[in-house]
Amino acid sequence: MISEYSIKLNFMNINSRLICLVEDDPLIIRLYQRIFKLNNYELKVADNGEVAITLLSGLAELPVVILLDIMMPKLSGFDVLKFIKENENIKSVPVIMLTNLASKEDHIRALDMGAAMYLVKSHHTPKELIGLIESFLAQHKEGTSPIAA
Amino acid sequence: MAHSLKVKIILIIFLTTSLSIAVFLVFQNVITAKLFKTPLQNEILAVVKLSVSSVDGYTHMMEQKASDLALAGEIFYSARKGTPSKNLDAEMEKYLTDNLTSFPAAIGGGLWYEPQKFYPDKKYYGPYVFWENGKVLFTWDLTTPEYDYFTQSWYTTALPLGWDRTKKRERTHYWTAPYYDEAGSFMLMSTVDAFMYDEQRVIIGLSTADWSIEDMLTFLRNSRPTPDSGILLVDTNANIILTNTLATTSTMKSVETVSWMSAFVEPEKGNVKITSTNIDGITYDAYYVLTEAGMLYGMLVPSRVLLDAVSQLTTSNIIGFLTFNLFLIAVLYFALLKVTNPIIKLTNIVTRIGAGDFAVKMNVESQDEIGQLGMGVNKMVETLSFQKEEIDKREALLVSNIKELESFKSLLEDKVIEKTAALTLQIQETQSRSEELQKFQLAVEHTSQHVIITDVEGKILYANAAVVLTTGYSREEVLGKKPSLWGGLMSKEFFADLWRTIKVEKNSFSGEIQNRRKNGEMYTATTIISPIVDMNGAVKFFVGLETDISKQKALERVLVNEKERIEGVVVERTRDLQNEHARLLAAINSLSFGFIIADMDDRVILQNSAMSELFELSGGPITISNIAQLVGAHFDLKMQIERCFTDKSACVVNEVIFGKKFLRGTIAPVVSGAVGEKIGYVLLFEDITEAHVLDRGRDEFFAIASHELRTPLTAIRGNMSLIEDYYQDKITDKEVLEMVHDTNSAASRLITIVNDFLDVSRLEQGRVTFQVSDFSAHELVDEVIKNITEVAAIKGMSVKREKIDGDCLVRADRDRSLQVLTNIISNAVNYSEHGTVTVGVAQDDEFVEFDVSDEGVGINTLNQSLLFRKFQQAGESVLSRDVTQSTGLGLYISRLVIEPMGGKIWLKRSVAGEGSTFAFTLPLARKKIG
Repeated sequence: MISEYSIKLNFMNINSRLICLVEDDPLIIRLYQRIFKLNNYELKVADNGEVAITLLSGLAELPVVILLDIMMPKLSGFDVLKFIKENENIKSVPVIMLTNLASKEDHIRALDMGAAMYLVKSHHTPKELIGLIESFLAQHKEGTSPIAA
Repeated sequence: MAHSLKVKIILIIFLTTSLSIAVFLVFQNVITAKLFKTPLQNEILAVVKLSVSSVDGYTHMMEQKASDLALAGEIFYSARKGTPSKNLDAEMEKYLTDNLTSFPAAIGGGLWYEPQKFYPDKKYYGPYVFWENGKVLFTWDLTTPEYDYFTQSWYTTALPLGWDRTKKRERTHYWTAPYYDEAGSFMLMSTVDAFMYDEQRVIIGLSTADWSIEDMLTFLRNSRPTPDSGILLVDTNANIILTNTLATTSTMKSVETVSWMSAFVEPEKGNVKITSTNIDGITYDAYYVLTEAGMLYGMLVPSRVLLDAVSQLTTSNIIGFLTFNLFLIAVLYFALLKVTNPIIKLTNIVTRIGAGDFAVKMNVESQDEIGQLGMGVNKMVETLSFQKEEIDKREALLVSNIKELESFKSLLEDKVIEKTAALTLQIQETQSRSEELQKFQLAVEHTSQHVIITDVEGKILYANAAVVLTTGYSREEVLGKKPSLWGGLMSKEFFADLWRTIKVEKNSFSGEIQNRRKNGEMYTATTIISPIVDMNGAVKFFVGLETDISKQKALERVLVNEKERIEGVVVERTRDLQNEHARLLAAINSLSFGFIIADMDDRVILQNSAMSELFELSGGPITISNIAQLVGAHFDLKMQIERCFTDKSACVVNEVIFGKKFLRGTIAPVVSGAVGEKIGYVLLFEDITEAHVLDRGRDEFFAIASHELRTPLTAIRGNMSLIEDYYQDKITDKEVLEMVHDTNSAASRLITIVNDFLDVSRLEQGRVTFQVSDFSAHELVDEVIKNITEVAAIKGMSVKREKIDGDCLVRADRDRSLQVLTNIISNAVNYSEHGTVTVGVAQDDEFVEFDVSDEGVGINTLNQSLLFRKFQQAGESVLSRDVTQSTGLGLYISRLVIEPMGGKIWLKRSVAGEGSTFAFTLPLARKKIG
């Protein structure tokens, strides 16, 4: 499943451009593959919670960010988030929740559990999404991310 | 006896002498002062006055001469003015020399013209000629401009002194200070200056005349009463001209340097003032006076001088006076002895005659009044001796008579005493008996009981006031009648029994009887009748006592009735209560939820069957600890019970889990109404499993619906915008591009609609949690304006914020507030064609108000009332909705958001063609206390 959706991208520079996307809906996966490709990112995709954990456990290189959906078969996004935050190897990787659950309760819950940002998919066009993630990464790199604080 | 006369004489002499000495001592000060002190003081005053007049004489003369010289100066000025001469100095000198010959006492003189007055072009002052005894010694030319007489300090400076300052200024003549010649040629000199005037009375200069005043000062120095007296002369410039020590002091002193000068307060001209002052521990009498020329003359005489003189005089006076008095006493004493001795002898003889000794005789020594008295006495003794014998005889007879009478008198007295004692005893007894009787009578008369005394036949002899009061008959109507007047209503047997008891058995009778008052009214009374029996056992009369008990009887009847009534009520109420209880029990038993009432010791007082069913307990009593155990895992019952008592209110716990059931537990304290005493609590358990499950289902539905609707829409919109954003140049057909654009817009709007619908549902069902925090309304407005400015600019519109003071700190859900403000500002932009949208923020005591004003078309009155409803736009009807703009849920959502946060939202203003103002409020953040 991993190989099916992962696409090798050319490295444009020496900085890591690896992003992990945990998402179950093929339409959405394809949409984000397009936009990240257009912006020169390498995207590794897991299409459910279980796959996500397997993927994240076996990574040779740490991604710059993990984009995590919530409502998925088998394990929910919260379960995956919990796993990430309890795993010493990857807990330093920022997690951006990318979901269509728009309730405030979910939003707060995610931030409480250690997510760096919470984005509702339907609220942003793919271009906007890239803009948001890049500005987040710029801030995160400086260690001054106001969202993760 | 003879002694006392002598003593008296000595006493009189002594007293008289003492008195005269005492008077002398008491008044000696006054006498001495009168005799010696005043004359001495007058002598000193005379010296002072003489000295002053000498000074005045001198002054007068000197002033006169200075004035003459000034006149001469004025004449010279008038004659020579305006006619310059090279010899003016010489002329003036000659002129002076001529004039000074008339001042034999002077030692010098000069004329001093003010510069510019005589010859303006020349610094001309004038010459000075030294003169002695009418002979010119030398002249002193002072024409050099360096010598400025008018600026000499001793001329211009008059040291301020209280007594001469103003007076000095009034004078044309005055003294300057005396001074010494440096060479010592002159001893003392005093100068008198006089002003010179022209015809217009303008001062043109002054003349100076100098004199030796040695003679005058020598005279003054010698005019002192004692060598240690002080003397003082002060000139008008307050320089000391003369003191005692002047002869040896070569430096003039100013009075300001002399501390005791302050003793001379405001001296008067010609009038000598006397005061007392202390200098270096010695008290002086200070005499001081102002001379004619305004100089101060003073003399200080030690007070001791006067006192010494006086005290010397006093001592010698006393010694002389006492010696004279002692001599006087001796002379008087011996003179008096000559008179008193014969009198004393005579007195002795008369005394012996008085004692019955008629054998004595006076030895007559002289023929004076005392000698004649002695002879008279001798004659009288002879007569007395004869008469005495007669009297002795009569006296013996009288004595025997008196003795007889006295024995008879004592016998009589004894009898009287005996009789009086017997009578007194009798009177006392009678009195005490009559008092007792009176008391008894009063008691009987005024007791509230009837008291009747009858004779043996029953006729009333006495009736007290109570009888009259109760029966209504007067005492006159009652006396002599029988008690049957108001009684007699009882049966014959009753009376037979009565009479037998009191008359035959001679016992007391008691019973209750019916009587009738005079007005016919019946009354009940208890009666006691007792026979009074004499010593022989015969009945003398009867005493009847009666008490009116009719009121008591009436009261008894009322009490009986009341008791019956209350018993009836009690029975009725008990029945009601039983019914009530039964109904309550039925109600409780029919309740669908479990119900328990327990007391404070957790004993179950009442429970219903639903409780047993709820906890699946078949049979057996339910206990509180039983229930606590059953729900224990999720619900600490004991703790909740305690809490509800502490809070004094019911507490509800929704999530009590028992097995597979969800229960809602309610505990309410039962408190006795009046005192608030805790008496127990009510425990309710309700099965809410079904509602709980339903709730969960709804929650899941919302989550899934929102998720499932959004996901495909995200894909549509995402791909469409990807094409628009990245692949526009690859599409050659404009129609296709337009289709992509439309699809994108539709997807966007659909997302908005879905979001709004979901939002409305959640808000309507109260499933939204508000994250309340304190934030700045200003910052909120700024943020929204920043987001929306770009959109507004596309339409050629602008959004601005009014400048407002105050921090406007709001307590609300910030994201939700942002949503509402964005919605309202967006509406203002969307529904206007042009103009500016203005956002205002204002704060009062409780709220912050946000105002959003546009310059659009306004909203018509009909639609205004529909604004905040669901699916309402400012359009006309559902069918004419402007669906291109929005879902029509914006304002409705805003209202659903604002109201739960404690604010409100409304249309504040709308004028057709001018625009609208929407407003909403949010609660102000309270400042933390402390």
